[in-house]
Amino acid sequence: MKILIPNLPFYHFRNIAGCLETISSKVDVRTFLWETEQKSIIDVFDEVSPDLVFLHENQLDGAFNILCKEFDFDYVLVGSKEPPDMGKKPSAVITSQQFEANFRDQKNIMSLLPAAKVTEIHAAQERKFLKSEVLIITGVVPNTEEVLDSMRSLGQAYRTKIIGDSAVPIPNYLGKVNMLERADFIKSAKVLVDFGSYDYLDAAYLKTAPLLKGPSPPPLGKVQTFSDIATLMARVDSLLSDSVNLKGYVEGIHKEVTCNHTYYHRCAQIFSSLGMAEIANTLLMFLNEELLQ
Amino acid sequence: MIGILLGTVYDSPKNILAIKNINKLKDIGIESCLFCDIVNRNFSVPVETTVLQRAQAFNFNGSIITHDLSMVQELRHMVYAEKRYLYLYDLDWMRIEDLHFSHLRTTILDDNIDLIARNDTHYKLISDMFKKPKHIMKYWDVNVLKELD
Repeated sequence: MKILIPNLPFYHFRNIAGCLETISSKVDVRTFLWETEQKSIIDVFDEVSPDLVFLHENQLDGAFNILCKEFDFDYVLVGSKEPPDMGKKPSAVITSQQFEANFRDQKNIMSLLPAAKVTEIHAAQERKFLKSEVLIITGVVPNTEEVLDSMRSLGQAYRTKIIGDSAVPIPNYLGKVNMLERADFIKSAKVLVDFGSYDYLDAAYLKTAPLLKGPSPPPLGKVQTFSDIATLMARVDSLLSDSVNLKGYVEGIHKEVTCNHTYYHRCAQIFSSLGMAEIANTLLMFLNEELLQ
Repeated sequence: MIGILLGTVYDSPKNILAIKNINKLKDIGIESCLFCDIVNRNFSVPVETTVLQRAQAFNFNGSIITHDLSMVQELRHMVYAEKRYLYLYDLDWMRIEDLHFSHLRTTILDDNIDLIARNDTHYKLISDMFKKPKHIMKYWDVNVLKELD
């Protein structure tokens, strides 16, 4: 089976492609990551003739309409609103919970919950020069004064490193990182403080203790949360000063994430809903038998 | 022998302090030189040491020191130098536009470069963020410069 996935800046696309690529030797799946800026959809269909395509709603245009008539394929749509009539309905729709009601005549609507990006972080290594007591990753969440104050408090009290796409005016900020550096930073930290970007799922997978700013986003699993700086500092202190507590917490949340909240689970959920049980089972088997052993 | 590596020497507090204290080294019998592109005509301190083209620093075999983070890419390749020091006079990495960690990895964190902090507070921060500085040198203190020789 040939699966075409556009290389767009969405976690879902990249991680689904990553998961499928890892099982290519175990099941009949060939994944093609499509550089949408470099190749038109008609050219890529001519070259690959995919059996299954993942598409973002912005890619449903006249060219795609032509392809629907000329090629025999299924597609999974990532979007937030009812797609225009293309002569071919998507086999499944991936959306967020708040947009589910927008798809009235559609079957197979899925809200994919955030998940640990296993293919991006699994090879992470603990490195001496990246070590920290507290790690913060900026980017998704706006750096409000409250967030900056929390960062400053952590920076003054603990060996704190801050990385990520959004620069902050704090000397602990070490710049933007690539995927591998990010994974190594997480692995080399004791505690990861997450202000709402779901990085804590990656931390839990790598056995770094996560703390999440609550109550939003809704936490997955029994992650410890904080609401203000005082609670944050108390939680960090409790984790760093009590290694037994830290170990117990880390093991517990690691187990929860590896049982339910990785992109292998999300990917298996998609293929299961498409009726491709073999691929879904192979994904979960690969996670449990090859990665977590 | 101590060499100072700079780009353009213009009037700034840290350049003035650097040159004032380098000038004092001859009084305590330590040879020194300045590697730079140009000394601005209106630089307010007379340079009383040997001034050489920046490229000459690649043949230098003494201890070489810079307080300019942008010079570190060159500093790390000065293989004849006995010791290579980066003096983090300010918390310079905070001022880099579009900072990538890979920049720091190949400069401040380079194994062949030793760090110098300006004070105890900086020392702790630099130790936490990068690696332990080899020295604390307040305002280009000539007594610490002597130790670097």
